[in-house]
Amino acid sequence: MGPIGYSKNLMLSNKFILFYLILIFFCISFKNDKESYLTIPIGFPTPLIPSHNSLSEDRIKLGKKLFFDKILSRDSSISCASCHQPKYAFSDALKTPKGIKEREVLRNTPTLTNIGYNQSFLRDGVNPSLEAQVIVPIHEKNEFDFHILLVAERLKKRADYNDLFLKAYNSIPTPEFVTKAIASYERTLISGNSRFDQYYYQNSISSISISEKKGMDLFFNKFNCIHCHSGFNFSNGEVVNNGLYEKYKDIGKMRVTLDENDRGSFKVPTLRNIEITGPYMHDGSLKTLEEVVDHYSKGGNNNYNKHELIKPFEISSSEKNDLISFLKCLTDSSFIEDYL
Amino acid sequence: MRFFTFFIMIFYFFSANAQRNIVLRLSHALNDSSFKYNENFEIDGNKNYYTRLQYYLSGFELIHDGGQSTSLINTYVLASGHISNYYLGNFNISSLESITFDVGVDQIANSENTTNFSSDHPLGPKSPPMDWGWPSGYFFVVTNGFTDSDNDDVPETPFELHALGDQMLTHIDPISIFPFNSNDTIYIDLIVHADRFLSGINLDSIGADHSSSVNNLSMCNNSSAMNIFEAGYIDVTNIEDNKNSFNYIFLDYTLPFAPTINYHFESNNKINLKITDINGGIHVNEKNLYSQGSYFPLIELATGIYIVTIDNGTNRIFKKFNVVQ
Repeated sequence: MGPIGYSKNLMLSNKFILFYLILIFFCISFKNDKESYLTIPIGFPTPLIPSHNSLSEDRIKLGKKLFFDKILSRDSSISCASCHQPKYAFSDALKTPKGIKEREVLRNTPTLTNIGYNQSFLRDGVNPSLEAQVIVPIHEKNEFDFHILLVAERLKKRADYNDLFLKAYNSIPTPEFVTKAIASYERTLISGNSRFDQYYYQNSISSISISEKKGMDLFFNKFNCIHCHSGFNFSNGEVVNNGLYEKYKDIGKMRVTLDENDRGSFKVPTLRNIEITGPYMHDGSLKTLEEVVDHYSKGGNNNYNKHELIKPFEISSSEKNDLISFLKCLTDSSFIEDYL
Repeated sequence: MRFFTFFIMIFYFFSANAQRNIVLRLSHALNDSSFKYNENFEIDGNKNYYTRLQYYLSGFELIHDGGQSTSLINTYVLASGHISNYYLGNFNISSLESITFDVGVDQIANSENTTNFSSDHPLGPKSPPMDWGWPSGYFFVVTNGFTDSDNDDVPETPFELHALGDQMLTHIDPISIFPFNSNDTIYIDLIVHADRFLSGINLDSIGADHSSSVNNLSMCNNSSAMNIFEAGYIDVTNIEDNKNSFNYIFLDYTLPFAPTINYHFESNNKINLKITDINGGIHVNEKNLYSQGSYFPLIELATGIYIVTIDNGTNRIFKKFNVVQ
């Protein structure tokens, strides 16, 4: 009896151990799945979510509402989405956008594609976090020309926002939670289902054409574009001078650092959705991808800060077509449709 | 006798280890006179005046009670030219001997987001802003004003120096102090020679310099090199000629749609602040504010003329101001 009983107990305890192991597995999976609100494409890493602003459905929902609400601008005429329009992969197809009262903004609107993966923000990469960058357009005179404290006061007067903030952060609207909610929403703007992704990460070999494959080879090998436009997001995140001008009106990162070595330096942008995020460069001065390729093939303009790898290279018209075809296959139409 | 000795010991224990409020009392001075905005002062032979003076202090260390040291962790002061008193905390201190601190904020705080703090915290969002949102970092010292660049003794050229960057942090060596004790409060009295922030800086062509420039670095370093902070106290209430001239309102129009009301009342009484429009309509009616401060109305006023009135029960001052939406 004893051994059998013991054996039964052992079996029972084994079942319990198995049950607990499964339970622990689920718990761990669930705990680690703080990004479950994000759809991480195959081949993409998990983005880092700051511990002080973990994601939740309510936070994303609130952030999305704020992102599209003109209430954040002083005269309630524009929202984040006025410049970061979903149909242009969260850019605006303009050389440079306009702020309230038609004020001229000096820099081209960058795409927010995969912005949650970035380590630095704004065109010159001087801003340290998604939360911190939310303040910039709100306070910029040529953009929203408002103040974050007054934004919070406006929101406090709205029952719908009071309810959303309570659900998301268990708080009334505050500057802190305005920035955190918008950052939460922006972290969901993940794009990784372009035809390139289907080919490269999802093993769908027919997803891209022969011309696009040739372009990919040129991009990765012959022209070494991958040196700066590297990784899953086609950007190494560095801030460099690409020789756009001999003399820069906008001195880029140097505006903050005052370091001559930073003159005319801007962040290497992602190339994802590049087809629909033109015009290009920090000032939107290049209208088409053809102009962009021409700029690089002639080695850019002379500038003492120009990145050492930007040198003239020969490119035939068919190679140029192939290269641009490849760039266009980085367009993720599902990303655009998802947010329309 | 035993009971008496015990009583004496208890009394001594409590009196020697009483908790005291520690208040930093800054007497801002321009050419050794009491600080005022729009009032000319001379530095390096040039006439200037301030329209804004704000700076951060942090990293406080108090030496007290025979050489004991107390570090004030996470204590930040946002000082303004028109505000004297800054509460540092409640400590078990009987007598203060010296103080040391930094001008600016430490590297960790300087990497924070202003919105992580409430607006009444020194590091919280301010108007006019004490941070530059682009790189995210605090302005350690802000001086706005006008300088006389054509030598006619009338300052007419604007300048803005806003010092930004960790390298601007300037340590102030220990200053021996002569604290003033009042009931449960110890006042650390320092004279701030505010004119000296601009020493050695050619203001003629500065324009708006919000950066880590050499000029901004000089301005910050001056706080140590030019002995801007000195033990002492300027008691303007003893000046008989016109006491009321030390009560004033000064508007900051950095945000023309939401001006900030800087005010200074030479009184320890709390004050009431009222904003009315020209038809007498009341838009703001605040009670029991500190006698010196910067008030940013958290209300969107329509374009128009308004009147701010401040009273402390016995004296009243008022000023007209414009809002431009």
